[in-house]
Amino acid sequence: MHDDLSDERLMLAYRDGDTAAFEALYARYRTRLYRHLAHQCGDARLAEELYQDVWLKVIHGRTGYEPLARFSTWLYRIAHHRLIDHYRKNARQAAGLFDHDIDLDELPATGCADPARQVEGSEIARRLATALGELPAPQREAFLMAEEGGLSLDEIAAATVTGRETVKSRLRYAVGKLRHALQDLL
Amino acid sequence: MNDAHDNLRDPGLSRLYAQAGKNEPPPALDAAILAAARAATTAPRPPRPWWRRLQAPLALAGSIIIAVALTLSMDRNPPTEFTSPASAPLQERPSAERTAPASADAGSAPAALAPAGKEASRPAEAKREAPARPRENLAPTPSAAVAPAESGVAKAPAADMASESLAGSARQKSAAAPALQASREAAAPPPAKAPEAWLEEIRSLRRQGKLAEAESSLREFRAAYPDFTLPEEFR
Repeated sequence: MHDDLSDERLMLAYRDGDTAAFEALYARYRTRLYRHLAHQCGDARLAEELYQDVWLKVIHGRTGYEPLARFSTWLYRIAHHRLIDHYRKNARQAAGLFDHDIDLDELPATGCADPARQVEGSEIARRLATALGELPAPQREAFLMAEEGGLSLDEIAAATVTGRETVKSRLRYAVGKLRHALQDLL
Repeated sequence: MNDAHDNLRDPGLSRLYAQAGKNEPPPALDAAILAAARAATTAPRPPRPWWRRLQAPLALAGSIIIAVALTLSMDRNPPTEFTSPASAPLQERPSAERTAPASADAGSAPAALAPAGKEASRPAEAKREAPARPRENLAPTPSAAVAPAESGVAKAPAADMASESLAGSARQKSAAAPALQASREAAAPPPAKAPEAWLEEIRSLRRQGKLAEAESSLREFRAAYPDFTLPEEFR
């Protein structure tokens, strides 16, 4: 019954007490959000903690939810703020990278963790994780939001509270670096 | 926007990203989040502040107080503006005024009721003239009918013929005349003459040949002194 409803309709239904609507919404985003967070921090256990925090914020924020934007934008904005909080607590350097005035191309990759060590799987997955881990956090976030979340430039800009051109620049750098790192696999 | 977005996404990277596998959250984490979602919807509401809890009782009490106050106010100050013109003067005027001599009514009623046919088009005048009509409506009552006869203003009913309602009133008066006469005699005050003196006057009238007047006076005597034993000559 809930399959035909949009994300926003499902969230409104859950706001009104329909638990099944939340289950349907959760099924749509569980993998995407988890992979986004796992690639962002490169730590499976930390990713689970962040993942749970994000969903709990969605649950507790349901009473004030208004469909002013797409649900995915709202969800990834929560994830973005949760990541910023994490960076501020554990890696001040990474949090500073989200400052818009900084030239991201001149900065090193974040030291969140070694993605290659954390993410198990195939060679492709390990290589991809390594390449993503070498990206600056804002670029990686923009790439993951576009690739995993399917967000547009404007939606990424809204989710990260950033200008559209800034997001476009971050995406361009991210794609260029990933293509260079994985060119033998492409 | 979408064009720019698509241009920035690399198809080769997207294919590679899709082949990298599907990391998923552990089932225990799914269960914990879904349980939290269910608990949030079934959690009891936080208690409302005291002023919100008392809102309904206070509103009810206020309504009751206003209703009681209005009721008491209506009892003490009845709305005279909304009573019908025919009944309002009846309630307001004392009974003595209702039986007052109709000379004033007889004189003013025709003038007041003459424009009765125009009342619908002139509500202000109708309202001003309204008190005159109930006085005329009281005319058929015995107590009111007695007054014109005793005051000698017997022409008042004829003057009332100016309007249709007054004509009906006059007809009622004429139809009720015998009964009114009887009631007038019954209600007449005791005569000032002594029985013996009265009888002597009747004898005098007979001696003078005024038999009709003597007979009339004798009828009045009988009405005035029904228990008096008449002499043989008057039986």
